[in-house]
Amino acid sequence: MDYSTMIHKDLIFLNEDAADRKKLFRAVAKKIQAAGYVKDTYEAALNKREDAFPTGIVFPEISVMLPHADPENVNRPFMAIVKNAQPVRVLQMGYNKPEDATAMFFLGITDSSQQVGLLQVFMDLLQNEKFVAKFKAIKDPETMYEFFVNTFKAQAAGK
Amino acid sequence: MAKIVVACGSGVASSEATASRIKDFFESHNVKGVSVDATDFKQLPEVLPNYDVYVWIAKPNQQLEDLAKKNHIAVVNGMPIFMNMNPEKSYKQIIQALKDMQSAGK
Repeated sequence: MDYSTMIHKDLIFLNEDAADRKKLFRAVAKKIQAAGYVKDTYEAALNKREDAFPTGIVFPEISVMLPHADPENVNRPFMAIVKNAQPVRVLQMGYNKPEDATAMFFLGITDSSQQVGLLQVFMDLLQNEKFVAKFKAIKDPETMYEFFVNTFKAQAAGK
Repeated sequence: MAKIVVACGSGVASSEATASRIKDFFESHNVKGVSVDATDFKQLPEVLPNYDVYVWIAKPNQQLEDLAKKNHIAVVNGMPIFMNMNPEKSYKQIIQALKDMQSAGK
């Protein structure tokens, strides 16, 4: 499966500077909604989901979070790529322990059977030192877009 | 047939991904006769008694822990499998639970 179609040029936000998780969700949800990918219920659904079931994950090279709302709040599948200047305190999936993250990947899942493979591919990438180093170094949205599209295309071709 | 359930918050993302990894693991290790389902926390209290192994991605609450204990369901941390980071211990626990079932004649 080629997940590069889930990456969109208008959903790459590398200059966020929110003080906390809720403010970050507000800022990012507003842009994702303005671009038409989600319904107006999205931000509230995102917060509800994160409060009940946190999505932070700590890898050796990077701490991330993967916020997502239930499919009924999403119009079109996406993965929004977000960097926040200051670390945001979140909780880890499964363990509910605190974590500080600056990298967030907002997942817009509409059909789990089509899109769960993305999570598997992405978990492996987040443990790939070269991928993480490059992700951290890229500051420009256009370059980030190319980087993700090419990475997912290469993954799909390799399988 | 042994039955495994993987549960996360919504049942759409991490539980499906983890269930798929467990299926691949069984396939590559030639383990047959085990079904793996993904579900969410809303369904879980109702369906949990039907299963033999409960793999969690979202932290189980006390109600679920008690329910698993009462029904002799093995509870396994699924996060290492989901992350694909040192998943061996979790796989070992799953295999052990299946072996225990077998020797109990279930």
